[in-house]
Amino acid sequence: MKLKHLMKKTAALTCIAACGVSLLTGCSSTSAKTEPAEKQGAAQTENSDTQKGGGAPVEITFTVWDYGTTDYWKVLVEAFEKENPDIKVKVTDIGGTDYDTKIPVLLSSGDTSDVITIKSMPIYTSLVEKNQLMPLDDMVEKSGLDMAPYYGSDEGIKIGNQLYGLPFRNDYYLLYYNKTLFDKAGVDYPSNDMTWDEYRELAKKLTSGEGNDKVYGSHLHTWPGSLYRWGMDKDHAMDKGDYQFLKPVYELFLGIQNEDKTAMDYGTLKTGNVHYSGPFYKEQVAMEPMGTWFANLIINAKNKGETSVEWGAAKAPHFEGQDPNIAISNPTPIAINKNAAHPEEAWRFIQFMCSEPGADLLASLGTLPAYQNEKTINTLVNVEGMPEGFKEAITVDSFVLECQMIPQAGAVDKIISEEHDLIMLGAETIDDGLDNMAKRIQKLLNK
Amino acid sequence: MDLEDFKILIEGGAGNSITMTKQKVKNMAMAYIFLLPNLVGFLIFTLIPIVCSMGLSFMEWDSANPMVFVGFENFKRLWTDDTFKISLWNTVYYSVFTVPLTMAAALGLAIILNQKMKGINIFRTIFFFPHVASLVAIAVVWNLLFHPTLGPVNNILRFLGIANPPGWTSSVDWAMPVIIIVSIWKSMGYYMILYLSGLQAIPRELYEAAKVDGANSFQRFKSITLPMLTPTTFFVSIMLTIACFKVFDLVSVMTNGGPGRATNVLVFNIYNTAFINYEFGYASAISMILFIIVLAITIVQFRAEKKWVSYM
Repeated sequence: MKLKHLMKKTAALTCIAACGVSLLTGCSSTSAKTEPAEKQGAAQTENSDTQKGGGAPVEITFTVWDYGTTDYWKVLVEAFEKENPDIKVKVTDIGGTDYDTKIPVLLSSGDTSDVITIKSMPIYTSLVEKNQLMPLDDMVEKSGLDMAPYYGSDEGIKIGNQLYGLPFRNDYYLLYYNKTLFDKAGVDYPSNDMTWDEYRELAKKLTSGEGNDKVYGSHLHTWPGSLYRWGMDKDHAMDKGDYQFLKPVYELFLGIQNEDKTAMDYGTLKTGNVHYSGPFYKEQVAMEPMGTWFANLIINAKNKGETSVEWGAAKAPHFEGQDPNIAISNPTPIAINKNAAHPEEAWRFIQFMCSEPGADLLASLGTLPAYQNEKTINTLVNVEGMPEGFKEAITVDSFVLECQMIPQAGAVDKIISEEHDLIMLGAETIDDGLDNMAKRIQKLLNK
Repeated sequence: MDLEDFKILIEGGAGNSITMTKQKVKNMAMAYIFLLPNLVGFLIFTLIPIVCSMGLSFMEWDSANPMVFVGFENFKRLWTDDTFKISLWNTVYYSVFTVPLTMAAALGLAIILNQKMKGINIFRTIFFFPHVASLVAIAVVWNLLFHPTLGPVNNILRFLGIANPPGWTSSVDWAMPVIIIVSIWKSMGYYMILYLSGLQAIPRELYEAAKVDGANSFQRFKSITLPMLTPTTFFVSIMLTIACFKVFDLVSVMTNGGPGRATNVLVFNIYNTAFINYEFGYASAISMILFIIVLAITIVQFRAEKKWVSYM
């Protein structure tokens, strides 16, 4: 009997250890696999040149999340295959929730997948740190790809002056508003040059009703990033270990939530796991700052009859002294695995995805591409269902990247999110919260 | 099988190989063959990973770059790591309440459901059900019940005249009690079954004799039921303590360690350290600490066993 207990206990305790070991064994095979993979890659490349005239196509693997439920992946892959009959794209579809934990494990195992889509930037920086992505500068130069339409988002994601991915999407926030609720309140639609103080006053005018029928003038989502971005500019980033610049933003958000009561409170949204689209679709909120991708979601939801909201979009509000034409953006790059079996073909694929042909196709489906020129932007704003004035709302002069370009970005994000929780729930004062955030992050960065 | 029996088995009888007869050798071989499938599984999935994790706790490793031996650095770092201290404290807090409360709830249920009554099996099934139900579904439902503004729990509290009911999972002080309540609810059915089997092994004659001697029901419970159940209680207390120190799933799906770090427990911290921060060496060091704590508690429990556990 006793021994059985002991064995059970040991078995249970080491589940954790087992995870570590599966990675360990995976790692040891990396070095063994790398060389043949590279050779194989080179060999395939030579072959592919001769194959252009005919013969079996080269198969590259493309790792991506939510392939089945995202509207554009399939369209883009099919368009690429049609244009490049010598390459076949095999899609590895990984669920969105687990994508960020699975990709590092996959690459650590020495996998020879070719194209890796980056879902969040902390994964990008950590993969670069772990030397698992291929530098693309030589390929960019050789292909003569024009980098100007990326508006600096390509420069922003360089690490050690090297580019490890091409920006596919580059999202920033807009102010979405419900026209019906504005008309009802007899208030003018938001302009493209509105300060946060004006926003706060506007939210008061748009709030009405009580209890379940209450209409909120403003909706502020719970993500830390949907708050801290408003304090950011080229001098204030989230990876520097000093967060005093966020104080006015927290004062604003807490004021709207607690004093004005013109937005649903953080605790309710967080524990209820309320999706940022829910209250807007149900027309419970008049204004919501949200990412550029939201436009496409609203159009799709309207087409499916999930909502009948009459909406518009303007430039996001800004603080006094900030330039409304500088957007805080977050890129989604597509990268090539360092161990890729077919790097040449992989480059042709990501070049298609991230420059004009792919970008235009992406825009035609309602999603803002990172590659922005007259053609792709016009395609986007002419998508059926896009509101009037959308072009003015999305047109900006330059970008400041929201993401932290440091290898510890994941750990930094975790700390920010924990302290953000406490400040927004009132468990910590703004000063204490920002202080703790700074102390904990400095400690992490100085380790 | 006792530990002593096992020693005898593996050392071959009295441990004297010279006097071993052919028959004994044959028996030994048979024993090993039957043990083999289990031992191989244990070796591959338990023992080797434990040993590797021990080794890893002295390394710095991000899962891709080469490992670096850092000696006791990872363990030294634990002393200055707030998150580790908070997660250790939270784990102890969780265990100190969950273990006795679950045992009390399970024993209470077992006594109530240990009656000859029509449909008693239906009730047993109902109380066992949370143990087999999907944890994620359970977490979603409990989160809704405890929702600060719309949840039925707070609506009832407000109805009873409490103007400002707790924010439950959105409150730093109340998030852990919610986890404890859900955990007790989920696991009490399983331990109830263990207690039921213990109760049914108590000979009825003891109760009859006590009744004849004039003992009332509380005296019978105190002097017969509880002492006769001590082996079950011992087993349950060890299993529960281990389960409590390993808690992860419930925290991960209900609060994700939050608000802030209010429900960040050891295993959750280990997971984050390894798979968010990519510090596999440091994560292994924390898991070694967890291993040592659980080992120490179990040894203490085994030592104390002789004092209070009575086997018939």
